[in-house]
Amino acid sequence: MYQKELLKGNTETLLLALLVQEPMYGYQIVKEIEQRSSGYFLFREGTLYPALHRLEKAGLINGAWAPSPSRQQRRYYSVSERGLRELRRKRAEWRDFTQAVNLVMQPSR
Amino acid sequence: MKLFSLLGLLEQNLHMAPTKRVEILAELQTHVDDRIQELQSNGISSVDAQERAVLEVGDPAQLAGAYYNAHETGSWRDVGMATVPHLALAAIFAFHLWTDLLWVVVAISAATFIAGVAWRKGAPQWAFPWLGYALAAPMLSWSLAMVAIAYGGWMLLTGGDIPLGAPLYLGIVLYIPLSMLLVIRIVRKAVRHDWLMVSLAALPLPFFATWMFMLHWRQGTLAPNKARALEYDADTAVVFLALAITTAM
Repeated sequence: MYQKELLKGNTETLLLALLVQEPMYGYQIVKEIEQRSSGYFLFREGTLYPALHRLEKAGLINGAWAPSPSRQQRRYYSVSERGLRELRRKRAEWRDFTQAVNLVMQPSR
Repeated sequence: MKLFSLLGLLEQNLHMAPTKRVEILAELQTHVDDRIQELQSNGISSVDAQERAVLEVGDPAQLAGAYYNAHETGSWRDVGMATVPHLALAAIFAFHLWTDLLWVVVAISAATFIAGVAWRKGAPQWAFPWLGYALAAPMLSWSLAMVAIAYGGWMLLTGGDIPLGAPLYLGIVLYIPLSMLLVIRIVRKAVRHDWLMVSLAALPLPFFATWMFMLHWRQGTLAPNKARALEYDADTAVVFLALAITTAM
């Protein structure tokens, strides 16, 4: 339950961090996140696509149909300039947060 | 459940613009196709792969709800854009600007222009109040046109001259059906897009109709009794202010 809540709060940051590297389509994102997290994050359609569409509506990513390497049409998402700024802000926020959590959690001397 | 049944159920529950709906369904279909392909390459039969891939998508109604929340939740900018036309109308009544034809023309032209531009850009929710006011103008003009036609008809029957002259009278007679056809076409398109928003866009119409009726009743429209006609302006401004607040909420 706690893990689910953590993912819910960070889904959009994870998507931005992934898409900043290269434009990807939905299924590719699921596989990439699963692989990079060694199976820790398993995105479902009900989480992934509404999150992608929310980011697109907020102007943080852009979506466009383009042929995939298998020549089938896929909707590719890429990070916009605004998305880049938001990612920088979220990364700094995450760094501060984890630092603070680590400081509290480490055993006191 | 089969893939087409899933997409059909999802489509039924997606209450948004047809273009968005088509795009969502196409994207989800490519996702499920990829998943089926992957499962099949792992040795799972075609039937089992399809069943499992569809099952993984989950409840179509829940998914549709998640999509709806992602698309239809308004930003502050959207809220601002949706309330501006109501606030403008409140100001027009509060400052008695409706008595100046120039302001009326400017307001109608602005509403029509902004509604048109927004429609071309995918008809966001904030566009509907603008569309409502743009369509309110021809709807209200019909009542005035009908008064003019009835008056002209009476004059013809009683052997008098047609008011405003025959060409203009004929123009008014033709104006009603032609503008009605245009309005009906626009409304039908808008209803297909989002019937709920169209019903909300039509909210100011009863207030306008009541105002016009009161104005006519108090001899404000045709008789030069300006002072009496202005008596309702403060109340009408409050009504449009209330509409703006309701829309924002």
